[in-house]
This record gives sequence, structure tokens and C-alpha cells, in this order.
Amino acid sequence: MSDLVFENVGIRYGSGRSAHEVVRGVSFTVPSGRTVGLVGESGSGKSTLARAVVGLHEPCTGRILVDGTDVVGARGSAASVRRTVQMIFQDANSCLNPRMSIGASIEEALAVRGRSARRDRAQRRSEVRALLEMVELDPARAGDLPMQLSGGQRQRVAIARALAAEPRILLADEITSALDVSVQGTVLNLLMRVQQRLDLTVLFISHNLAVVRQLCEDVAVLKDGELVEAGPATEVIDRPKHPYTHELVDAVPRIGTPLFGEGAAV
Amino acid sequence: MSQPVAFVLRRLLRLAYSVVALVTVVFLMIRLIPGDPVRNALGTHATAAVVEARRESLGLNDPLWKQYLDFWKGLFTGDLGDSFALHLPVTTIIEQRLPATLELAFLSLAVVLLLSVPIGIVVAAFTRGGRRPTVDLAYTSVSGLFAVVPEFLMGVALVYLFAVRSHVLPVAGRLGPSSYVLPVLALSIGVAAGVSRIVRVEALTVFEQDYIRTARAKRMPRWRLYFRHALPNLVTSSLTVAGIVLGSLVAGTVLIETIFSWPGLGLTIVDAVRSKDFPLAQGIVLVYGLIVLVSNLLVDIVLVCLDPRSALKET
Amino acid sequence: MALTTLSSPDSALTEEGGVAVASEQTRVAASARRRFVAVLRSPIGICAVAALIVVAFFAVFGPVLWGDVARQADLTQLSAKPSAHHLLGTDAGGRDVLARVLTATRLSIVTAVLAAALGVSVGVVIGLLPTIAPRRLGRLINSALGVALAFPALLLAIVVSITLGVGSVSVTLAIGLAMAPSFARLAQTLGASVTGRDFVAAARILGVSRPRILVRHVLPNVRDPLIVNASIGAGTALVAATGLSFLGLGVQAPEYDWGRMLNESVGSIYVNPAPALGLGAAIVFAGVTFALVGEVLARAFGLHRPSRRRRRQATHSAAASPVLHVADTPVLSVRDLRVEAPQERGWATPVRGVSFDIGRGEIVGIVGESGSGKSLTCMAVASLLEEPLHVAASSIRFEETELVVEGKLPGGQRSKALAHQLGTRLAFVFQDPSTSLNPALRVGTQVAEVGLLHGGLKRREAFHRAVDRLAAVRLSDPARRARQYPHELSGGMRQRAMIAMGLMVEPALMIADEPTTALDVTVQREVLALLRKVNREHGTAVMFVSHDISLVSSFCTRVLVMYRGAIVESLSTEDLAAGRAEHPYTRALVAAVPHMDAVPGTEFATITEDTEFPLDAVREEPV
Repeated sequence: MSDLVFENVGIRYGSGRSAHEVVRGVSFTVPSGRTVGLVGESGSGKSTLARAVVGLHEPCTGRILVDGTDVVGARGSAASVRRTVQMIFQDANSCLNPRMSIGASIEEALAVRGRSARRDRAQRRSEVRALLEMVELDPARAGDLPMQLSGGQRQRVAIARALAAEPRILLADEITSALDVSVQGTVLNLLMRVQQRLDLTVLFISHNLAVVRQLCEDVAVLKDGELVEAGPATEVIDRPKHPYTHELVDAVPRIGTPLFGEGAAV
Repeated sequence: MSQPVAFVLRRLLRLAYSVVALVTVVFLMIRLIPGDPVRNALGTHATAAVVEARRESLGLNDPLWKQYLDFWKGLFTGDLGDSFALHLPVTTIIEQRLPATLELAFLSLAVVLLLSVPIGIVVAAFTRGGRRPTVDLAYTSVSGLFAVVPEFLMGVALVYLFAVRSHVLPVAGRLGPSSYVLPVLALSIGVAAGVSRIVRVEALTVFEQDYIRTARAKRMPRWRLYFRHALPNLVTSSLTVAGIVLGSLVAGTVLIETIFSWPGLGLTIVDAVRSKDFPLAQGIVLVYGLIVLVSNLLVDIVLVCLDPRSALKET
Repeated sequence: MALTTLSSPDSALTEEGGVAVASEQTRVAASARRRFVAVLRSPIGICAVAALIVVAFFAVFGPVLWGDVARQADLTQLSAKPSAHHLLGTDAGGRDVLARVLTATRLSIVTAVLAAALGVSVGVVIGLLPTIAPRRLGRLINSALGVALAFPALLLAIVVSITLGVGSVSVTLAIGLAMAPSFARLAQTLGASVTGRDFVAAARILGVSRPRILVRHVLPNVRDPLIVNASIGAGTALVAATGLSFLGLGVQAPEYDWGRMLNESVGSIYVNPAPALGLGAAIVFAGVTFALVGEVLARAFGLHRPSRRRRRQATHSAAASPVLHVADTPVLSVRDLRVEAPQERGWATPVRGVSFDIGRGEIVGIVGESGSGKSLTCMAVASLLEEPLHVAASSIRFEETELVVEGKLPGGQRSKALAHQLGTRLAFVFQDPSTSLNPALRVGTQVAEVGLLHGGLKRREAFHRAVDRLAAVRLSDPARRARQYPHELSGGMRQRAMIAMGLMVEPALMIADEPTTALDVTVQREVLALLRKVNREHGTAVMFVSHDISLVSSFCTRVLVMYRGAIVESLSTEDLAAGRAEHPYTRALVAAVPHMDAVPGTEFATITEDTEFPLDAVREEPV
């Protein structure tokens, strides 16, 4: 069981004069085994926050705790703790190496897990197949290159690769926003099933409130790098307290509900 | 502090350490020559005493760090030593020869830009989206051929045509405007062909941009589309190319001056290297380097004035 | 743990899987091989291979076959003109020039290839080192590279040859080292574009070591352009080596290459031009060969596709598509619109016969997923599609003007009157406001242009009106904004400026192609409010294209649903909201949209990836 705690995290881009703080004093917890949604508009710092957990950005202030271990600038044992956090990205086109078969990509993730590197090839192969089955892809396609797969399938391979590292925490960064709505559901359902089956802790980043409301137990709302509201998803989205959350929820289009009432001031 | 000013300051700093690197390389160039450069230059017939005296006068017997400091001191006082062969101060020789080289390089740059930018844009306009495959093929073949022909071959070919076949234009020396025609052409034709290909590719990329589609939705005449909407977006990349091209034009003058007996630095450095006149060679390399560095700086500053966003791209 | 239990113990399946993997890999390799063969069989491929064989032949066999002849000095024939015995004449030493040219091929080519190989190797190491080296070392390498790049390669080569002395070995080293900085920069740029991608981030997160990332992830993705440039670089090295030898700074007697020979023959060009011309031909031939090989490799790797165009006769669709909705006073009336696009082989039909009307003042939504043809449809209607796309229709009427000529919709400029009509009555708002505005022109200038072109306004009047229009789309401080460049405005402001552009005149129809997809939801709401205001106040009909069916249904009065290039259903927003959609695709699409009132924790509705919906339209309304 692993939880993920942000303590007063601040992240800055650039240095000196051109420094620009994109995340300021953000604190919240992703409790073990739960799915927490992180919502906000572009530039709100939600992706930056997630990338800081896995070391792609360095926070200038605060701590990021995985299971109680600070992973900021992690070395040695803290780095291996950080490796229990894996991330899935938005762009299905760039998340897989175009020159590596999907099987090889997953196998690489198995190999760096350490102990399995000593295991024989055949066993790794069978694990690759098991992972592909788990993400509902035909194991016979292990030799395919990413370009032979659709966007939704590639995103499922990315999930399989993340799972190969046996993570305790998954960061999903806008994983369906580049996909068509008809494909989106499949990927989200897969994430939901995997989360339940492996009892994962998930930080789900999205700008789609409807998806977050249905998928996540809790939600945190970011605006311009600051946390404005957090709490149980249905509560925050159905009865927003902060005016910004209110504005966000109001702007969501709903089938058949006119975006502007008749005669509304426009 | 505003972005462009900060950029220029940063750029000046880079110029400073580029100059330090240049001076250091030029200084080491002679000191790294295997064996004794003085013995090399004076030949085997010179007595040991003569060689030793020359070494002493050049300061080659001092420790390396002292030589380096002296070299810098010399630079600031305008003293680059004396030429072995011509027995004149290196700075005097450079002063005499520099204008001819600069004229050649900058006239060629002007010709390159005047030819390549319009040709590149017009050909791109004619052949975009796979239109007129014949024009495309003809242009690609001809420009490809010219781009492959090195400037010294172009020079030899022009000498052949104008010295052997007809006698319309002079093929050697620097006397009167007509003597400029062949050297400038030889230096610029190949480069212009290559640059026009780059401009064409850039123009084709610009034509594919969304804002050109926006402009088309306004239903305007074609010329306005190309010159009002596409051209301003090509200035930046054309100038960038010009900066790179100027360097190779300066280098090209070495060959062209040799072919056309053009009394510039190129002719001088080739003689200097052949006769192992190291102080002169050293001085000329330094000047070439400074020309390139300063003109690159100017191009960058002009770019920032035209398009302030390019200051942001620079890291 | 969990994963190990998931592993399949079935060994039979392993073998099957193994076979399948092998066959898949063969298939991918086969498609790459097919492209290679196709390029080799094209005219340029044949030329390149033939030229390469010729160059390689003389490089290998030249000294063997003609080496002896080249050494024989015929003292009775000094600097002779061409004759049957000496095709290119003889040199000052009475030796046959042709034999010497052929013999010198080896030294000239080997020098060039070795120098290029040296330049590429050193360049790649220097260029890619910063990706695995500690950050500070990486920065140091970068600044050193920046300084080295400022100097032209030929000058660097002269410097190196001054230090190393003259001769063929030092020429190779000089040119190789002089070329290294530019290859380093290339490798660095290519490497940086790869390391910025998510799969490298994913590998880093997994804990893959830096050297392994370099070898497994970066190198395979930068290899192809590097090989292409190495080939072109060999040509550059050839020219540089020849140039140095020509200056007397390269190969020295008794060795000789083309450059040295050219130097000797230029002096006698007045008496005997044949040697110089022969040498020139040899140098150009070799240079062209390297350039051609580079081009062919680029095409074979798929880096550079030759632009192709095929002529095509107008095709008639097998069955005329049904008209799903007829408006009483249509501003736009489209019948049987088809768009065809050339493929590697044959033609694809991304829009396969659509017919619809848009009434005056209506807000019609066109909804569909990526590849459904919705954007192409509206671009075609606005006469904005150009070759190589091919647009055909039986009729497109815009405000009583027939745009179709002989079944085809000609792209580009036609009559002035038509340009005026389309320019004043039809406005277009594009998807991404950050790319749709010209970055080099002021916002006001761009907005004003329509007034200048079609409104008969003077420059100053047009600019004033542009400021007025910017105020009308509620841009704060419009006079200042008009003087700014697009990058100084936010995404929402830019999209307002695009709309203002359309309002310079009185458009009857505004086509908005995903106008809010690139914007945040709160900004989206403001832009849509503006579109609705335009619709209310000016009676402008809006054709609103979107992938988001809930957005379309909450903004439009009528919805056209597109699926794989066909309109499968046309229905009012009320019917859609009330669940009265009839086409299975429309129903599936509506069901797949996540709802704000769904039960938390339940699964999302899905459309199985390979579901085939019928392309036949439903709800045919009587004409």
C-alpha cells in the first residue's frame, strides 16, 4: 500500500530574472488505493506537478512523499521508492519508441525491474504476453511497431509498459484527451479495472470534469499553480464551493442543455 | 531589462569568448607544429646561429604562458609581428589586402541574396502541392548541379570561357568594375543555387501554414498572398542562411583569389602557408575569424530587430 | 506478486506467440524493404546506383588498370593536346591525363569518404555526449560547439593543415575535424528532438540507464538523417579536399589527386584546356553521385517524399446521396460533395457524397470523430481545398451563386466577382488561433485586410474599422491590441480577432472549424457566446464543426452527424437531447460521451474498436 503526499510543493521554470513559478505551495494527499483526479485548465501546473513526482522536474520548495519517503532529488533507496511510481502520457504518438516493437518496449520495462533481468528470455516473453492480455491486446501483436497500432491501442501498450515495472502508484496525465470519444471509454475502463485488480494508487490528471467525476473518488482543483479546492469528487463537482470550480463546472457542455439560456446575457 | 537588449548583451558575451577561443587557437596553431617552425621556414641551409637568433627575436624561447601574454599584448598594440618572407609588419600587409577580400565577399553575398531569395520563392509558388512537376524537376536538377560544382571549378570554367573562348571580361587582377564580374560570379553562383533550394523549402513550409489558409479565405490576388503574407515570414530564415553563407563565402575567397589573381588576403595566405611564413598566415587566419564572428553578430542583431521573438528562442 | 500470477504458464501458447512475433516483424521489415526497392527502381534511384557503381569501379580498379600508363612519361609529347592516343592530352611531364584522372579517383574518393566518416564519428560523439554526460560538462561542450560552428569548415581545415603540415593524411584529418562541428550540431538537434519525447521520459522513469537510453532510444531514431547527411557530407569533403590540394595545401607530389592535377592544368588552360575540363567533369560527377545517393537514401528512409500529383477524371458517385434536410431559404446548399485524396497507391475518398442545406440565420453543427471528413467538407464548401485534393459535386450553391463548374469545384482564384462574394459573404474561423494568424503581421492589419480587399476602404479607414470590430468582439483596449502581434495575445483573444476578421464585412455564413478545441472550457464558453451574438445580431448563419457532440447539441439548432465521409443523420437538437436519434452510430456516440450525472465508479460506455456502422443515412425528410 502506497500513498502519495504533496507538501507545500513549489516549482519554478527558468532561473534568475526569467524565473516563473508555475506551481505554488500545493499540498494534498493521494491516499493509498484511491483514484484522485487533478483538474485545471492549461497552464494550471497539473502536469508539472505530476512530472515532479517522477523526477522530470525539480521542485524548488516542499516535499513529495511516496510512502513517507521524500523522492525530491532522490538517490539510492529513495530512487528505488520513486520507481514504484510510473507515469502514462497524453500523446499516444510520442509515448512509444517508433523503432521498438511494443513487446520490446514492455520487455525493457520488465528488465529494469532488476530481479527479472536474471530470468530467462522465455519467461520475460510470457510476462509480456500476460501484460498485453491484461490491457486487452492480442499477445500475438507483441512484434508490432507502434505505427501499426491505433491511438487507443498505443495508449493501452503504454499502460502495460507502466504496469511491467510493478508500480504501486500510477500517474495518468491526460491519457485520453488526444483520443476520440469512442476510444476514450475503453482506455478509461481499462485503467479502472487495472486499478482495482492491482489495488493501485492513481493520480488522474484531466481537464474533463465528467470523466473525473465518474472515475475518481477525490478531486483536487488547480488554478494558476495554486490549489483552490479539494475533496470527494461528487461533492466538489456537484456542489462546488470555490467560484473558480463553479465556473469550470458551468462551462461543461451537456447534451441537450443549451450552453446559454434563452435571452441570457452574452 | 528588455528581451532584445538582454539578448544583445548575451550575444556580445559570446562574441567575447569566441574571440578568446580564436586567439588561443591561432596562437597554438604555430606552437603545435611538429618540429621547429623557424628551422622549417629558414630551410636546412641556415646556420644554427641564424635560427637561434630568429627564435629569440620571435620570443619562441620564452615559456609558453609568457608567449601567450605577449601575443595578446601584441594584439592590443596592433603588432602581429613581421612577415618572414616580405619583411613587412603583418598588420601593414593585412591593411593593404583586406579591402579586396571584403569587397569580393560582400558583393558575392549581395548577389547570392538577390538571386536566391526571389528564385526560391517563385519556384516554390509555382511548384507547391506537386504542381508543375516538369518545372520542379528542371529546377531541382539545374540548381542541384550548380550547388554541387565547387566555386574553384566554376572559376576555372569561367576563366576557360572568357579567357580562351571570348575575351569580353578580364580574368585576372582587380582593375575597374569589369574585373569584379567573373570572381563574384564564380563565388556566388553555386552558393546562390544551394541557398535558393533552402529558400524554396522554407517557402513551401510557409505556404502550408494555417495563416496562409486564413489569408486565402480572404480571397486575395496570388501576388498579395505570396508577398504580403508569406514573404515577411521568410525574412528570418533567409537572413539566418545569409549569416551561415557569409562564412563559406569568406572561405571561398581563398580559392577564388588564387584563380583570378585577386590581390586579397586569400592569395596572401596561400603564399604564406606554402612559404611557411607563419606570422603572416597566423595574422590572416585571425582576421578571417574576426570577419566571420563580427558578421554573425550583426546578422543576429538584425534578426532580433526584425523579429523580437528570435531572442527568446536563443538559449 | 499480482503480475506473476497473471503470467500464462501455457508453454504451447509461447511457441505460437513466438511464431506470430516473427511473422509480424517480417511484415514490418518487408514494408520498409518494399519502399527501398521502389525508390531504387525510380529514375533517380537507377541514376544514383549507376553513378555509384561507376565511381566505385574507378576507385577500386583505377590504379590497377591505368596506374602503369599514368606513370609512363612520353618525353616527345609534353603538354600535348588531345589525340587519339591521349584522349585528354598529356601533362607537362608527358604523361597521359586521362589515365592519371582515372588513377587519381581512388585517392580523391578515399580521402573524401574517410574525412566524412571521421567528421560524422567525431561529430556524433560530441553531439550526443551531452545527453548522457553530467549537465555541466554537457553545457561546456555546447558552448565550445557554438564557438567552433562560427568558423567556416574550409578555414578550420586550413588552420589544421598549417599545424599538421601538408599531405594526404593531414588533409583527411583536417577536413574530417573541420566537418565535425556541423555534424555535432546536427546530431545534437536530432538528439534533442528525440530526448524531448515522451518515450524517453518513460524510459527515464522506468530507471533505464542513460547509456542504454542513448543506444536503444536515441540512436535508432536519429540514425537515418545522419546517414543521409553523411553521404552529402562525403560530397562536401570531396570538394574541400580537392580545393585544398588545388591551393597546394593538400596532397603533395609524388601523390596526386584531382585537386593537385587541376592546379597544374589551370596554368596551361590557354594552350590546352582539355585536362582542366576532364578533371572538372570527374569532380562534378563524383559530387553529383554523393548528392544523388543522399537524396535516394532520404527517400528510401521516408525522410523526403517526392511530391506527386496525378491527373484524375471527375468520377461520378454510384448513387446520389440523399438530401437529409432541405431549408426553405438556404444560404448554402450542397449536393453530392466528394473529396478525393491521392494515396501511395490509388485514391482515398475522405468525403464520399454529402448533401445538406444551411438555412439563413441557422446554427448547424457538424459532428464526427477524427477522419470523418467534417473539416474537409467545410473547407471544400468554402473553396479552400487545393490540389492534390480533388473536389467534385453536382452542385454547391452559396447565396444563389453556383460554385461548381462541370461537376468539379476548381480550387484557387476564379473571377473577381466570385472572390468578392466569397470574401464578403463567407467568413471562416479556424481551429487553432495560435497558428491561424500570421505571426509577422500586426493583428489590426490582418483584421483590416478584408476591408481593404473587398470593402473598398482606404488603409486608414480599414484600420479604424478593424479597431471598431475588435471592440465589437469585446477585446479590451482594441486600439492597442490592433497594433500588437498575435503572439502578444492569449488564445481566446486571438480567436476573437479571427471572428472580428469575419465581421469586417457582413457575412451571410460563418464556418467555424473546431473553433474552441484548442481553448480551455471557460474561454470556449466566451467564444461561443460571441458566435451566438454574431448570429443573433447580424443574422449570420453558423456552420459549427466539432468532435464534441455534447458541445454541438448545447450550442446548435440542428446537428449533422458524419461518419467515415458520409452524413449519416440530420436531426434537431431537441430530438438528439430527447434520445430520438435513430442511426446506430449517433446513438453510440451519444452513449459514449461521459455524462456529468453518471453514477460514480461505474464503467464508461464504449464503442468496440472495429465496430462497423452502416453508412446509409436515416431520417430522409420529404423534399
